[in-house]
Amino acid sequence: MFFRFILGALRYRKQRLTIAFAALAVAATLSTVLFGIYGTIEQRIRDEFSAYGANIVAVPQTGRTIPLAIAAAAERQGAEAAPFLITTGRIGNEAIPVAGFDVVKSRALTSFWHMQGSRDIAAGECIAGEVLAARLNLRVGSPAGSCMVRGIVSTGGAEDGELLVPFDSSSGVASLIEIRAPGDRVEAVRAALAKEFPAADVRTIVAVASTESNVVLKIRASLFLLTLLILGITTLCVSSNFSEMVIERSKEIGILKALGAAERRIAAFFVSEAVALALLAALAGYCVGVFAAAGIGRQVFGGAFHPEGSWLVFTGVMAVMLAVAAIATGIAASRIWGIQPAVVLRGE
Amino acid sequence: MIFRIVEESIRRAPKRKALAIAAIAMGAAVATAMLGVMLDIGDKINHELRAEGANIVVTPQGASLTGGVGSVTAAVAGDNYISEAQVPKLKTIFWGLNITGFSPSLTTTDGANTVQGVWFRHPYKAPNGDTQTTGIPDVNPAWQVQGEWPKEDAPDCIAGAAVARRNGWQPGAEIKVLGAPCRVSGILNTGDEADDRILMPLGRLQALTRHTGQVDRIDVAALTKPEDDFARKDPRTMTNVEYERWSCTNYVTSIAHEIAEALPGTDARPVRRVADSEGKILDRIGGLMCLIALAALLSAGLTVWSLTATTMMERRGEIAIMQAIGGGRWLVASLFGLEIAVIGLAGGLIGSLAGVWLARYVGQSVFHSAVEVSPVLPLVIIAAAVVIAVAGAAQPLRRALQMEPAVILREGL
Repeated sequence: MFFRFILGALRYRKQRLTIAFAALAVAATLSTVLFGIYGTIEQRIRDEFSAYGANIVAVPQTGRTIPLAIAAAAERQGAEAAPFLITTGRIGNEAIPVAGFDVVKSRALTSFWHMQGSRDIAAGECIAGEVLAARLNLRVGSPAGSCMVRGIVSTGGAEDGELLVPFDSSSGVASLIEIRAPGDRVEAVRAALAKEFPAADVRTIVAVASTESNVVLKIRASLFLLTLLILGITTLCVSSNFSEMVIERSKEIGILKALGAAERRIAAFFVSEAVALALLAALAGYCVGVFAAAGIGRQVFGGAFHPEGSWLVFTGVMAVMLAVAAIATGIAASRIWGIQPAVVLRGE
Repeated sequence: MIFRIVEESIRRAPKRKALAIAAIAMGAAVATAMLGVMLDIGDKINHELRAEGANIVVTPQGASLTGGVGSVTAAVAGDNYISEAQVPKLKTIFWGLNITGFSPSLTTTDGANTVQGVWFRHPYKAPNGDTQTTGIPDVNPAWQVQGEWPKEDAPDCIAGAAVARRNGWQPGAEIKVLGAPCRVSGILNTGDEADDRILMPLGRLQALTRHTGQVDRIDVAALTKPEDDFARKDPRTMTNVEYERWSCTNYVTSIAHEIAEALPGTDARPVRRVADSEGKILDRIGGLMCLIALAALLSAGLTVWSLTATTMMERRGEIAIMQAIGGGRWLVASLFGLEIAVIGLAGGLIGSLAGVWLARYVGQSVFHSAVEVSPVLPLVIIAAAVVIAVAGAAQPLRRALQMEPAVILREGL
């Protein structure tokens, strides 16, 4: 009897139920997308922030060098590390700053270098900073002292005034080591390195580290609030649909009440109808949402299009949709208590 | 006549109409809030990213050239300076209002220590005649100070964390810099080269080193637009039209170019580490938020649509009676259309105002600063509410008009 009532309702109220279903399905799609993005957004924004380069730097406490072992220790902590060795060189009779850099290891930390010519230099080759090159008339292919200029670099930072040469690791020391630790573990990595190498001054680059955590926090908070707004509006949509349904069917409800049905039982009909609808909508919405999320991810962050289902997101969407449907019909079903069988059946 | 009927209809069932208006208002509020936050979020994140520090550095052409870090530096000699009196001119460029802070500085050494004279809260004359202040704390808002920033006119200085640790200085210590006494007002913790420096008011350093009115570097923080392919073109190879478009866009390169023109004899270069990365991040976040806003608009639109559709379905009886007593199709359709439009208008109006407030609330609670909602936005939303409401009503209305009035009336109202 119970199920026949529901099935019958589904058959006879097609149009209205289609609208309610559409609203629920759109909400399910949106929440799948939002949950999916919410789960990965932190990692993705942190990846973008890696373009800022190092968030930790190790320099000597006193003296001029620190052991190269710091770089290896940082890598063991899951960070990327690039050593630099700063010395003074000569071109003609001018003293110039010369920086040795590790061509391979520094790549990820110096993605912001604007290169003209080649960045991959071998022994005997060098890269000139933009300002230094302009001052000393260095060009790609021209010699600078004892090395051949392979590229000109422009960064707006110290590199602009330096001559960059391949890092010589045979001495086992560096002047500074730039380290990029995962954004959420900066302080832990810094503390571990500082403890292991008391001779080095291991510093967090405040501007990089704090801005990153700030932005991640704020994006997450706004996504959260926006998700709440979307779920709120969906509840409203579904609730209005079911309210209209209750009004429309007040005659049937009146008959049921006149026959002695308890309000709770009648309300249960409506709620289970909505829940059945919500389950279907959540399933459909989830499938569409997984693809939409992958599409958005690709559109915004680049990379491959690979839709990924996750049980966590699925359960979350299901739970939220059931809650939305239950709350929405709960509000609508409260009208059942107000229906007077005699009045309704008389046709007023 | 038609207006009287609509007026009557609204007056006779105020509760039901109020419900419809409230529902449309909620949809409109969500849409307004969403768009308001979205359209402003790029700006907000841009401000957040300004905490990364200066994105443009200005140096005199042929200045002394230093490289390296900390205790290992080498310099190519040169003695060109920028006149401090010229510095405020960089606010006169077209994008002057986008410059959120700047700090001229002069660097020298005192024994093993590097000493830098900077502006802290230095007054200057803005192009509009007001006196404003700016300085290094505006350029680097993320820097942490233990103690306080030096006062511009006091014999104060602030020591970088590494220098202070090496010398055992605490805030309040009396030290000697360049032969003159100075009070350490605070310890500066930055993680970058400022940790190895002593900062003091520029005027005082100039007096101590006899470089009155001279600076050798300006750090500028500006709000910029992410660079695209067009921004990377060489301005020298552009046509006039392209050049105009380029310099009227706040790319970091075009702002730097204008600064160099406003301050003759200087080079202004973008700091790539900051400028490039923030462009990428802004692009990503902007794209993400735009897509989410679209999704939210979709659900708000669907809500308003389904609301008016259900109200219309309910009123089939009224439509049938009107037709039965001789109302033409067009007359009945325009009657209901007008009524729905009035309801949409009222809902849109209330909703968009509520939405503006909601957007402000979100801005305040997430970014701690009000979201600027453009006055055009509520108008667009009101128009959209009316259009969607009428469109939602159209289909059920058409179906009701096509059905025999007698059939509907026999079925019961």
